[in-house]
Amino acid sequence: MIPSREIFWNVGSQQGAVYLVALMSVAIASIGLLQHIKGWRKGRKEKIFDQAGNRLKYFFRFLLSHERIRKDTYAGVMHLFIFWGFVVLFLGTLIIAFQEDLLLPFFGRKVLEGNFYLIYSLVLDLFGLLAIVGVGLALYRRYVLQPEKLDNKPSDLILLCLILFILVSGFCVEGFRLNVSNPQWALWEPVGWLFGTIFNVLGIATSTQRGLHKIIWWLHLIASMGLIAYFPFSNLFHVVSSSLNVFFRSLKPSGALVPIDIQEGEQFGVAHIQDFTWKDLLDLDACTRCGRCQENCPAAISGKPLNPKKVIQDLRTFLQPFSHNGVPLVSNIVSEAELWACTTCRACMEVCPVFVEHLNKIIEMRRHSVLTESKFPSEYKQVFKNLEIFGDTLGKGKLFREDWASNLTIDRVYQQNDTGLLFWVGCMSALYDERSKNTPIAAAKILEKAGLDFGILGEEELCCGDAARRMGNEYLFQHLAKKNIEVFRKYKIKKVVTHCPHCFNTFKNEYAQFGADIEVVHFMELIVTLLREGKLNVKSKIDDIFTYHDPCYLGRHNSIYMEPREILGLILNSDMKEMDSFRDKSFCCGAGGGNMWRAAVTGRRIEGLRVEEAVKTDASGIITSCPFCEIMFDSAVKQKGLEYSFRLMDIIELVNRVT
Amino acid sequence: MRLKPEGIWILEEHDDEGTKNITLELLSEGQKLARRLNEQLCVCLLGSQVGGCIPTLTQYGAEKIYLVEHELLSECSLDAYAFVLGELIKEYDPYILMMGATPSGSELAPRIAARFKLPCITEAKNITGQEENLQITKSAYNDQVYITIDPLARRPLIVTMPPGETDIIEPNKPREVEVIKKNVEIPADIMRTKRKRIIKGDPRTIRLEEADIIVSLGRGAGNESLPILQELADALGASIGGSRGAVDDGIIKFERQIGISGKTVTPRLLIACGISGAREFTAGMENSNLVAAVNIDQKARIFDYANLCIKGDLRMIIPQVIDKIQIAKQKREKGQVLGLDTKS
Amino acid sequence: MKIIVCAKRVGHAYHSSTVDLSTGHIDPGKMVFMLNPYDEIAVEEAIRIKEHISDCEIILITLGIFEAEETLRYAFAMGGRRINRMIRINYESFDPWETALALSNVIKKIGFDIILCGEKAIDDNCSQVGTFVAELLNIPQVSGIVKLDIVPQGKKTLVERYLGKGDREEMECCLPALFTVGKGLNDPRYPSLPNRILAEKMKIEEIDWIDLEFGSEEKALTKVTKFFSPKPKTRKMFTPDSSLSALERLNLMMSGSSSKKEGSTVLEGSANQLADHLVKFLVQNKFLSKEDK
Repeated sequence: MIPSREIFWNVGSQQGAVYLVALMSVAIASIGLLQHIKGWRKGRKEKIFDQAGNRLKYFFRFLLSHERIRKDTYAGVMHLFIFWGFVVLFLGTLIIAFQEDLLLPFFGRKVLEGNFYLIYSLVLDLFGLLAIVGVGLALYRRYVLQPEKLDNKPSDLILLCLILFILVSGFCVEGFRLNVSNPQWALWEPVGWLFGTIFNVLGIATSTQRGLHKIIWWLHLIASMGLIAYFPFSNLFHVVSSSLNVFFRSLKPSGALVPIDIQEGEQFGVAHIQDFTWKDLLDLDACTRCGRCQENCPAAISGKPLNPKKVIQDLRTFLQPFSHNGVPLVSNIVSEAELWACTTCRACMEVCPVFVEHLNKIIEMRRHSVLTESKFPSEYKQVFKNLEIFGDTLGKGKLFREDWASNLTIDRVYQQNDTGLLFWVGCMSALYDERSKNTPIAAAKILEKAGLDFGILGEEELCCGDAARRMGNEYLFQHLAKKNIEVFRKYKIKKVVTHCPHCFNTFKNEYAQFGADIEVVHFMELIVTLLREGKLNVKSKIDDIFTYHDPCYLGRHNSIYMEPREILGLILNSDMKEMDSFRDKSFCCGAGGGNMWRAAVTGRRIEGLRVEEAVKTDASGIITSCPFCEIMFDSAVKQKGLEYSFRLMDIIELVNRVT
Repeated sequence: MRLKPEGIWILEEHDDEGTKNITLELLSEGQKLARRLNEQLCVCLLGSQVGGCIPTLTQYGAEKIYLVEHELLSECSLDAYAFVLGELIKEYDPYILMMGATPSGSELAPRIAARFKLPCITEAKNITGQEENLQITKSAYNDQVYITIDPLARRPLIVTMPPGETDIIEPNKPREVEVIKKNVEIPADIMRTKRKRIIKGDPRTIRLEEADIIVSLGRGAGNESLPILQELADALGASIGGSRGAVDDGIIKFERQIGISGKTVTPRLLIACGISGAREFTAGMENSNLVAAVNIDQKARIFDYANLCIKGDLRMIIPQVIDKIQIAKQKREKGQVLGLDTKS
Repeated sequence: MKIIVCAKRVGHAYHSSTVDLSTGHIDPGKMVFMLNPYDEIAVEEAIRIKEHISDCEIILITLGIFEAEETLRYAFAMGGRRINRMIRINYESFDPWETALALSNVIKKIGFDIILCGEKAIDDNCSQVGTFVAELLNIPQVSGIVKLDIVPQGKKTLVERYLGKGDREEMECCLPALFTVGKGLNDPRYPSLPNRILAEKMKIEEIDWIDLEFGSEEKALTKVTKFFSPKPKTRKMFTPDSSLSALERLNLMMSGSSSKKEGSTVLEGSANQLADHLVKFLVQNKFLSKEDK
């Protein structure tokens, strides 16, 4: 006998009803799907169909490897089980449909017979079991472990129970069928066989089992079709929305914000939901409420009013039908406290498994607030005016910009025909206070030692505009950027080195938007090259043990993780110690996004949390490579009374000391 | 009529407690000037029932006093003062008229200057030259630039001088001087503004940027020190401010925070108690005129910013400071001459 | 109601090298230029009045060279459409009298109910022009106001001004009047971008100095003859008190000889001694004498 089975066995000639149910569920699902599409179409147009091949390639890699989802191991395994379970079960159902609706009626042939049928049964059974385990894990996590980052809605419970019911009822049907028809290859369907054996052990009569089979078969069918109908109205829709979002993910440099036209108009940034692009709205729909952003957001962790997941979910309400598009977002949907608490550290985007871009939404709303409404935390007005009048955030003025070099013998202000490397000093280092000047001094000495031809712009340097842009003042940013680019052009500057991650990120990723054509390297990249080439030699090593803080704009925004560790490996006698959160999970210093100039209104100090983390490593000090981080940590270290026991230094100072 | 303007005039200012320090400062400066220019030092004493101020004025060198007493002069009404002073100028034609760059002096000086088309120089530092070639130096452009101004030909020259910049000279014994008492009829219809009331400022509530003296505290002061520091502040008429640490610890409110993320302050005196001097803090106060720091830590960074550095426990020191201030104040009230109890 | 706001473009010197020692003049390249912060408060106050009294016209006037238009546009951008006219008198003078003559001349022609201007300009630090204008127009004035209430329907205002140390004087003043505004009256807004764009498009009426009509006998009353840099500000040092015994002083000096970069020595001793030092410091710097301001 050839192993096979009759598809509508025991159910008989009610195929018509089956198709009717299927049609209905698909119809309901389509309505739901259309609503989603309608929601996305509220947004502005944006063309992002470039690099389709690359996108597709990455999409499949993402699906197969689950690389971003796996970053949270429990959730990753759970998702992997459910995902593959469903994929295989779905493929199995497709094969059945293919056979029943195409092969049999038109060609009178079957595929589900013989060895193929046996393997088919085995595979489907095993993956079905995998899915049950996955759903079980999910239920356990959601309702027993209850991690803080998850918010449970009734729909979550309905969905999981529905899926569990479909899976279990499927196996029940299988068990009954095996018991009644009793084929010799029953063990090829091990889970069904197990269910059947249980029914037999329970002593259910064969005739009863035949009856139950019919009932549960129908229930299974209805539940499955129900799931299809429910699909666009539940979190399961992420199968579509998140997949699309992964496909359409931003391929722009991760540190760059999108420029806006500031020449004309009455409204800038995002005031209402329809000012977002369709991709932004797809983002909202793609959010699965996994809570990883919330778990990694320094603002949320330190008890500030911001929770990135909540922002996305709050905005998402506009995608529902009958939502009022005219409601201004800022202060109605996203409170001002939330809006301004973001440090733009990008931790949320780094951990989001489905590439939701929280940051650009926050920035767009800030832009509206600052540019159109002129509303922002009162502390920022002085910063904006300082930038506008003095060209630096501190309001010191350009005449102080060369002071840091006053004790150096170098006289290297850029002249018209200079061709060397431009060393960009940055406001924070040049102007903040005496201590902040140590870094550029050390940097200049290293450049000297390496025998590099370099110059500084001195008085002609202006703030790069990073702070203004992240605070939503695109007008000021573009004003500063254009002036700086003019100076670059004037001296025909080709290559810039800077030690400030904010200047670095802005030059590297954003100035091109305004026609700058410069090569930008961070000082650490330069040091690594110099050390490798032997132009810089480590003369002695440092005995102390340090830990390293990855600045957000160097790490997450520009993926420079390896260089500092390589440098520290060369100049420290012992291994450096990593903090609990490092590299792409590094915890912010609290300065970014304009928060340096803000007094924390609620919650704990972000820099304080970070210093605590650093102290916990038992290192004798913390090394960073960002003037902002250094200033923030300096005050945290002082406030904790650690100023004589815990050291704080820029990696460049350390390098200068040993070379 | 005389041929040329004569006399260096000083407009007296007073409050309920008598002649204000600014007048004494002007007299101190005016004496030197009068001697150099060989002019008579005169005081215009305007008010209602102000004759009691005359002895003090003579102690500080007034040689002649023009006294106008009138009900309408009891308040510093600009219109009344301008009218009366105008009458005096018309009659006596002085050479230089000096006033304090106080709220009332600062509007009176240009008002009179405009009325008689006279040269007016406000916030002057010093007066050099003589006869037709007087030169006045003043600070401008954020104190980065001094400018010298030639008040061209017309006299009297009207000058205001900022308070607190001149040392007050040692007083002499009161002496007899010529008092010219003038009766001036002030037409009622010239009074276009009217004082309604004086609202007393409370250093505890005024904005930190306005504060003249700030007692600032840091995390080192601790919550328990707030009462004594408040007492010190009250004794000095100072406002309380603090570092970010103090705000974080909930000792003071955010509106009272000094630093890069709080207020930038430039008081005449800042007393830093238990503040280590994080860069965040010093960036917000480095332009304070005088800084006194009390800290238990010899190496505290705040000492680099302080004019007076005291290493010690503020809990021990401040209560004694308060006592000593009270004693000094009592001595002053017992009739010691103001501003001169330094030898006590 | 017609509100006239006088706004000035000022150079702010922030560095000791502002005066060019070779020429004895101020080097504009070493300054930053902006709307005088006090005038900014005046502009803001005018806008706020208009937000309450709709039947209100705001006219901005400046006196200065062409570059002053940028400043005027900034002031306009603060208020946007609420501001009705911008006028620039093409002249720049160091003499407040000349400036006031020109301003009053123009203002008289326009007509006014309230004139607002800054208490002083942060460049020449003169605080005269406002008062001169008031006298030339023969209207009352209050200087340095920190609160302005217009009595509804009445031609009257209630104003407050600082007398120092946070004390305020409340006054009643009839209209028309001129008020010079002090810090603390309001917190000027930051211009929105649409208003900035609008400001760029707005026409600025230009009046030439020679078109102003005043008597030929009117001329400057003062003349700036010299600019120079003040001596670097020395930090006022505290010296050990001479009333202490020689031994005490010696002890102080010895204990205070710590390694310090600048500033004075760190004083140590008993709480009583230290308290004495602090009080002495207060006395020497006249903080315990009677109020000056």
